[in-house]
Amino acid sequence: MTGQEDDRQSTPPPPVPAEIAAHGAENVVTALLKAPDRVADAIAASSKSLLGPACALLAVAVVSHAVFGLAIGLFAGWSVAIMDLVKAPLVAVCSLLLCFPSLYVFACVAGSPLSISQTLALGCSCLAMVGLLLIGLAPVAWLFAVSTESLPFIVVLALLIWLVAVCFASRYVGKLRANPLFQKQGGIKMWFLILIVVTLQMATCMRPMLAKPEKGWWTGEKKFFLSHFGSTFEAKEVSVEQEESSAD
Amino acid sequence: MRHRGQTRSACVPAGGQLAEVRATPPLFRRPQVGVRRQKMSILPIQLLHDRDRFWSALGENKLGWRDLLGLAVFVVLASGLYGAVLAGWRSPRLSLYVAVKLPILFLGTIAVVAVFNWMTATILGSGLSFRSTLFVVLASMTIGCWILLSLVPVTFFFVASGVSYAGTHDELRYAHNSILVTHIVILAIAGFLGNVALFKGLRRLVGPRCPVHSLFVLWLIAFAFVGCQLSWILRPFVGSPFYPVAFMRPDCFDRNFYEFVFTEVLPFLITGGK
Repeated sequence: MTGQEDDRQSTPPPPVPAEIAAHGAENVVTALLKAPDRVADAIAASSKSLLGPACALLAVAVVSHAVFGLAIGLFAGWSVAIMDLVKAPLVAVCSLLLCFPSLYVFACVAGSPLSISQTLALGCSCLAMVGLLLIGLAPVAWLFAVSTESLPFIVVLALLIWLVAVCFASRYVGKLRANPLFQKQGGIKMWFLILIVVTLQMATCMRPMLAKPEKGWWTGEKKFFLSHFGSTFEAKEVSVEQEESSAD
Repeated sequence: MRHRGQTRSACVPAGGQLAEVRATPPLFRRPQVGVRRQKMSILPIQLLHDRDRFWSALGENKLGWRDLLGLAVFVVLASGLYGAVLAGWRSPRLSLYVAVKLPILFLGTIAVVAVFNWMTATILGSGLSFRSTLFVVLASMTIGCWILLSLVPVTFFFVASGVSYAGTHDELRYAHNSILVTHIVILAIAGFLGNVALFKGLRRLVGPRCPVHSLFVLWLIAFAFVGCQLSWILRPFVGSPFYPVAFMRPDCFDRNFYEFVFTEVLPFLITGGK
């Protein structure tokens, strides 16, 4: 028996989708972090029976986003932390839902003809990857959240952490290239830009997320995300001017 | 066990009459009608999933006028839906107008440049027929419309949550500009990906001695030149909050797009907005 054959025998076979679903979140997390090519093989191997794995990946994403929401929400106290425990996963899942058609079409246009089921699994795996990075950075977020009172600082920190997580998710998609189905990734990479913009707008839509709500958890006022982020920093400038005038 | 060369009907047991009937070739050509109908209805989906097959079918002259109509219908539906969302922030009436105007803009531009496209393709030795040139352009338009269709939920969400048709003058201007930029970006993405498909299609279809880059650039310039003017005539699309809602502006034929750019936009940019 040659060395190559030995290698082939020692390499574990890629998990089929049903296996991923059966082993639950633990297997999903291990596969996402250590062997993304196995996830790619599992998605590519089946074009229909991927609902179970997609649900497992979505569950990982929801839980991890919730944990990150709790950590960053402690900036404004336990009431906001509880609110963010619900809102952070909601922002992520709603954004994915809105961007799902574009993921399907962009992947197909770029030359990766995914089925709807495969697109669902891919989208959920990306969200789970973002969530895992967020959970890894949740202690950092918590540390800064409880040790600062600056709203702009915590907004920028949350944004940076989330962008780092999205970058890692994009890198994870790059590793799926080992499978022929994911060879052409231009469309999926472009889709990440859409996901970023939609998630920012979704977070604006579900505001307040880092301040104590005045009239309940939601606000009816329509606002563009750039305008909302701008107003966060304007509020800071006003408060700095007020502090300076009181010091005079 | 079935051996090589053995037909399927020969493998079935004696009682398997149904299988035998299925394996027998049709006596009449009627089933072809069903196949043709199915092909026409799924042509936009084929363009999304398997463009190579589409270009091969076009190269082998297997597609007819009805297939072309199928693509045009898809473009009308997809761009109409996007148009309805595009102007949704302003008023439902403008939304309806733009749902009609956007397909007119897309298909109208194709119609105006169709003869020019065919003539340049012929002069440059591409070997494409008039119908093939229409197919290539409509196929790229279909790809663009797939992109628009896929972004309808995103656009609707931005319109519903990001901009409000109420507020001060400055707030309204900000809302109008932000939604305008959003649509420009989306249309640019759709246009870019559509043109990538157009270029790849041309490269597969034209003869070996045809300068495909030149042909593509010529088509692109003609399309953009006519498209800008037609969109100027058919305005408003996004709907400025400072003008009344109308199907077309009363002064739509007074000036053209390029006069506007050279007499107002460029001087404004050169003088720094003074």
